[in-house]
Amino acid sequence: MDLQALRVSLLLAAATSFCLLLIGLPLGYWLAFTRSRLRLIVEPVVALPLVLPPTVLGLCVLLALGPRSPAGQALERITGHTFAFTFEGLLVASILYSLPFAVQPFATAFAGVDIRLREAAFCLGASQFGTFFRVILPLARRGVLAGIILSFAHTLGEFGVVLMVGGNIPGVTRTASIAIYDSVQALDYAAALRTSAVLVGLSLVILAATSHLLGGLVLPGARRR
Amino acid sequence: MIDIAKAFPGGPSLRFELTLRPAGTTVLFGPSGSGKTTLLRMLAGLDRPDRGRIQFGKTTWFDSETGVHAPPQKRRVGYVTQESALFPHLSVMDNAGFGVPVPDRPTRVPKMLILMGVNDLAARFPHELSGGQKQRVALARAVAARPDVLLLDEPLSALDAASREALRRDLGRFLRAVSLPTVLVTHDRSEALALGDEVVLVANGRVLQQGPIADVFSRPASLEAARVVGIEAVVPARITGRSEGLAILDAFGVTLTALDPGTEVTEVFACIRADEVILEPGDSPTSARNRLAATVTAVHLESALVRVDLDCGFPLAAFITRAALRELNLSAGSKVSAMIKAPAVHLVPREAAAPRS
Repeated sequence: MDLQALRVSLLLAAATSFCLLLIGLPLGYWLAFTRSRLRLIVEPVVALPLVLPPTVLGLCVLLALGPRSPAGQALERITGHTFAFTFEGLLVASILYSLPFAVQPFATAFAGVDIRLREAAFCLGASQFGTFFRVILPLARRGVLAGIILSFAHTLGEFGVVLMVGGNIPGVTRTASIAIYDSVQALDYAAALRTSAVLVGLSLVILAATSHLLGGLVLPGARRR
Repeated sequence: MIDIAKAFPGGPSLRFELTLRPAGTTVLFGPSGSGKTTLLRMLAGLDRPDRGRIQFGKTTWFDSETGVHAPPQKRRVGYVTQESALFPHLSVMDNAGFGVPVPDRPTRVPKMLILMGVNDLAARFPHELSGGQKQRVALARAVAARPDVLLLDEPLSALDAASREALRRDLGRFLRAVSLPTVLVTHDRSEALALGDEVVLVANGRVLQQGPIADVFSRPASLEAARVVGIEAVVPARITGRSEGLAILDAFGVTLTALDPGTEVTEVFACIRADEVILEPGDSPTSARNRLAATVTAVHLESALVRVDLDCGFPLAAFITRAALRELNLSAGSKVSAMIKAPAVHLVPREAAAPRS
């Protein structure tokens, strides 16, 4: 079993979930409440990874961050190395790939908070920011939790994007799903099965935890609504 | 000084031009769909008028010419709707303290909860409260934030009759205690009469009439206004005695008898519907408690019925048939007796009113 690959997978999933929390909360809030027409463009763009083949997304990221693109060159100047075939590059691709898995549950949960509660908070002097942290986030926390867990699990299982952007560098970009593929290619079915078993077990634990959290973490008053 | 002028076309077109009193309770009264709630939401900054101006004292809240639109946070309004909109994840104490700076909460919040009679519920959560209790907390929460004006949108209408009655009484005391200028939206006559000082009649997105509440309710300025308020004399009166379940009233020097409403309040409105007033010539004997000498001021023919306006120390209207009109031979200046049974004099206690001098 490739413990190093599992470690990379878990690290990537955790980092992706964390970044998606930072990006997804404001984006989800905007999508839930904006009246701007920009939403008509932003919403499908966020959802695009749901339907796009991972290889297409991976190719786009690879080209965008590669040494020949302006973005890639800028990043290289700042960080001193190229982004393609690095953990950071892989992280960027993973964030894009799992974006809808975080943003959609976030936005749905925010939109589900009674608008009258937002208005009540506004009239009591709470700013948009204050209202978000004091009213909307606490009431939408189950949806936020679901989004984080889904993006974590989704990143754990990704393959195509990782292969395109990360390559297969042990300890850096070689994730568990790639390790399984390699083992099968090398006809080492036992190793592939062991790593797969760990992934299956991990996924089951995550999903069980999710359903327990979503079923058991009922907010005071939430049962009535 | 609240000074509001507003035009709001679009959808069902609304156009309100009014100036609200700087103190006391102004009732926005009218049928559902008349635009009362929209007007209140525009005052709170939750809805944006298409054009016009809202001026609160020296501050401009909205001006379509200059593009000013102060957000609700800047307007310092206490806004309470019929569904209390309490935060379900916060306790009663935390709900009431939501708009209060943290250091001031221990001093300000319990005071408000005590004033609304819900201090013993401080640790509970909204789903553990009854409808009436929720509204009390919502009112305490709105006032604890120290608003400059209180906007109440049918705060009692989602409650059952018993808790509505109790809360109406307490709301009156509460409003007097906090002495904030208040705008109350309602379509309930008793609520308007019990809590209001002034009334603005609203129908079809227009202001029909504005004035002291008894004036507007007993002397609607137009047929449309009369339809909105119903034809009923509303007479300020004082309970001077009680016996055998009856209350003796003094209304502009005229003595009236009504059923005792059973509150300690002595300032009331006596409401008398025009179809409960019977007219008799001269001084024929009767068992009716209330027999008032009246002078006819006007006679209006209205379909099958005739509306006779009377002066009996206060304005009163009576509906009679055309046959009765011929029999009594009434015209402006005629002297008649107006008879009203005691149960037909409906008393609304004036909870919010300052005692008349």
